[in-house]
Amino acid sequence: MRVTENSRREQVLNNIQKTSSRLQEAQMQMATGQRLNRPSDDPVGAAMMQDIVTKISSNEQLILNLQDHRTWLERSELELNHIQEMMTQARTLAMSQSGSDANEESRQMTAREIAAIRESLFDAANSREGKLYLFSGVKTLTQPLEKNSPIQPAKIETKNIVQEDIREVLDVSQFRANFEGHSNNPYHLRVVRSGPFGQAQYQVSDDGGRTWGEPQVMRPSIAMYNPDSKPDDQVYLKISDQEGRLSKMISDYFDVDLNSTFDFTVNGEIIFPEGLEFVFQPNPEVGYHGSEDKKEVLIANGVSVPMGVTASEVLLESGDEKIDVFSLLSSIEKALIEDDGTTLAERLSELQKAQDQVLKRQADLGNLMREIEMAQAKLEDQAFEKEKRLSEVRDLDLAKAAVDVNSAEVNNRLALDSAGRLIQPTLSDFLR
Amino acid sequence: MPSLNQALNIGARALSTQQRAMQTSGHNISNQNTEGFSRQQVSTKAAAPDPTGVGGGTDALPTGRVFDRFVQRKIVQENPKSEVFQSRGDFLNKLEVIFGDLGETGLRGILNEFWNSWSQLSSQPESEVARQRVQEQGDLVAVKVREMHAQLVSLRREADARIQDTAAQINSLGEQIAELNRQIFSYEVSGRQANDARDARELAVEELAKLVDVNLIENPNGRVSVIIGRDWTLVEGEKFFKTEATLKGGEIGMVGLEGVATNNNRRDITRIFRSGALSEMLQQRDVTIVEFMQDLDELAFGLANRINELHATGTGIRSAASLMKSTYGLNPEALNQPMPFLKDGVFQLHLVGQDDEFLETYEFEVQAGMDTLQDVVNRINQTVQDPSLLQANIEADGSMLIQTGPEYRFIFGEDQTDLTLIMGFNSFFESLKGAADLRVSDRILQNPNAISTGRDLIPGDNQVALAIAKLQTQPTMKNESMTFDEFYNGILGELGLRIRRNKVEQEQQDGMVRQFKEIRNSISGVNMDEELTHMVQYQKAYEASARFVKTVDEMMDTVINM
Repeated sequence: MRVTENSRREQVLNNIQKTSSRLQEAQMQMATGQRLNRPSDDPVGAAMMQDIVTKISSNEQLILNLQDHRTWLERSELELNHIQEMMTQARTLAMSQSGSDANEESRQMTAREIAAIRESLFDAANSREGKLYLFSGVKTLTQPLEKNSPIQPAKIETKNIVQEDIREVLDVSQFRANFEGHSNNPYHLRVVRSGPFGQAQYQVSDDGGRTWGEPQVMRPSIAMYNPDSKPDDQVYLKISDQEGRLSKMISDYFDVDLNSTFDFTVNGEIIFPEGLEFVFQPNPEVGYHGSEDKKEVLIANGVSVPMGVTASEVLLESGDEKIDVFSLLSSIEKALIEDDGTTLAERLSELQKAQDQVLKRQADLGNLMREIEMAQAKLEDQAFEKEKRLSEVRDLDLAKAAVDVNSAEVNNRLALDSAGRLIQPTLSDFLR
Repeated sequence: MPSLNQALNIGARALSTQQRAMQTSGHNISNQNTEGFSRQQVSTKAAAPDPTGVGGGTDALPTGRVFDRFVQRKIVQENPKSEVFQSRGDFLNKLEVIFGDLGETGLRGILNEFWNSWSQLSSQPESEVARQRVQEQGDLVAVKVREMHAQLVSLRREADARIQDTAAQINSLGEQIAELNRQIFSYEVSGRQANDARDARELAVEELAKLVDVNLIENPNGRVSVIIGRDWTLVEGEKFFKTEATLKGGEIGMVGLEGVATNNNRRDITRIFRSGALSEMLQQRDVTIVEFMQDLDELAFGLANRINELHATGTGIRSAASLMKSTYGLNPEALNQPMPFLKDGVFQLHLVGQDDEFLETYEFEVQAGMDTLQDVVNRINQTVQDPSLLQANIEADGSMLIQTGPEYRFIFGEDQTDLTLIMGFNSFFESLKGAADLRVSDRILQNPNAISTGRDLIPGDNQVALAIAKLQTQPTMKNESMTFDEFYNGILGELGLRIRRNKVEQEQQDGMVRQFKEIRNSISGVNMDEELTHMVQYQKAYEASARFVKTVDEMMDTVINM
């Protein structure tokens, strides 16, 4: 092929261009220490690298979160331990007074100590971490335990009243019926025979109306005492006029035709129609105002667990084998004050159950703590692994890179060298 | 009988021929670096002999250039393809600058931090600091997405400006070719050679072939017609029909190309180019960059919708509102039609008091494909009945307004109907056009406590924040088949692969063009050694011819002095 000045020049330029761009690339990789600087360096590797970086970054956040949760759980554990200790103390105290060597004076003393323990338990369950309540579930800004007022307006059910016309004339807003006292039982009081105080008869149910006690005579103040029920409940139904006076229950409030055959009022007194019901919503001493829902927290990507325990799980929730510790302690206190050894002995076994209940929550917390610790350890392991992987994908093999830079340099030199030789002697050098 | 005069004649002709050859060599040597120059050659032929068979010396033919028009044609054919890859590479590299930041300041890095902020907020929903972090990171995501969109828009503008420049370049080359056609014709019609003009024309055509695909028709009279693209005659003989970049037709703000024929007859020729830098710029401007913009829009909408879906029915800390206006409004026409995207079902509003206490829960049932926005508003007002508690209205701009009486506030409850999402109530991100106007809603920018973390105003409830944090690892895009990260990886991967493929193709194509140019060089290029050899050769021939003349002269002397 004919070689011309132009083709020689083009070739040399092309070679220099090629080798110096290779050299530049090698030097750029060397300078950043990274093999991957742009997606086009390795599209698949770039995607992989980004995923690994994301994973590392979200794991770091998760580890920070987990450390927060651990602080929270540690505080919760501390409070539960404290609660357990106090309950052991209460049990020891009660036990010491259940024997025959206890006397009335020592029982009174102990009653005061039990009351103090109850207060401490109340405070412990309301403890906070920062501004947040530990045992409120997701309602972290709401104090979990509040003492309930002993007064509860009775809910008056008229739908079972036998005579229709009486339902029309009975104006429940004209008198006041309040329950007084604390109980976890859903008491119902049902009028089974019409009549005024002293004549009307009623039955009491402590299970929401499934079983009923013996009929008894209606009075302005009625102890909601079902002989089969727990004797420690002291709930009274008090019926008064709007001013709270028990005696002034005059017939004017009830617009009744006296000539009719209805025996609704007699001599200005309230006539309680048959079928009238007074409903008591369970009103324990201490009510739970937090939430049953717990905060779900991420412990790994996409995996979450419910955090912590609620005061209700630890100390409240009567029924279903769960024990309301506050009413239990109240009844122990009452038994001590009343010097009632038998009841005291009965309560002791319940206190044991209550302690088991707390123990169970302590175990729950322990498990949660372990789970979180394990998750954290795993994340930390992963972090190491991922960093290694990232380095494999992204970083340069320095030894190889050094060799690459060298060989690119040599190539570039050669290209330049051959360019230098291009200024070859031509025929003109030899012509005289 | 041969006369001495004849011999002198032969000598004179020989001298002038050698001189011409020498001149040509000089021309070649001086033009060895001229672009597009083809070396020229003087060829000679023996002059016609006299009747006795004695030769008449040499006859110089017109100086010709050494040129292979098939090789040239191949170059004109392949050049546009080479330019396609070149131009494509330029744009892809610019796109890579926009999308390819693999570090913390890239969109992916910013998204990581955004999801992390939600992860933290899900762990501490009550924390003011965690809320501010989500607010800030959300804003950063929106800013970054908008910035990338703006960069893509300006890249399109750049392509557009280049297209305008290219149209001007095509015109200037077309004009040159027409002028050269004229020169060549006027030279050659008088029997002269237009070597250098032809070289200049080849060069102009070659330049033109970088911009567009070119078809060349050579007319017998030495003129060429140049057809660019599929069927636009740019040059016909000495006439030249210009191309013009105009704003008429096509997309607003982007030029189209028009060919202007005789009598100002215009024709849209934007889409006739099949190869060359121009067609690639059009392709980039109207397809490739637009595709990446659409991907970015899809990502922006996906993020906004997925997060808003969870966010709308959630609540933050004391985040009940006394007045809330929807982000989006319906135009007057849409107001009279059943609301789009609405689903059958029930949505709830909770009326709360000053201390977040729940007062009332209203449920509204809507029917998809039936209810207009007015119907929905009416239903709310009829159900609530008392406007001093809560009322709904349609504003002049077609948006929906819900407001309560002074003593009350409200939150959204369960929403099976997507009403909150469609109208953009209580949203985190707002976006009407996608990436162009993605932003964190004002309500949240003003008050980080309005970021929804849970439901029903319970401060420690983190279910909404948790669900949003989990979006990072859930398949949410492309019919729930890929995560946001995977979708973004898809964009990056596509870009990276295109760049790599283009590089390989460009190298191949450039290699091919280079080879043809080498062949052309080896045919038409100037070689110094060759020219010098020629010079020696012509010099010697000149000397010999002079000698011949001298000898004839002596012969004449002899005759005269006889």
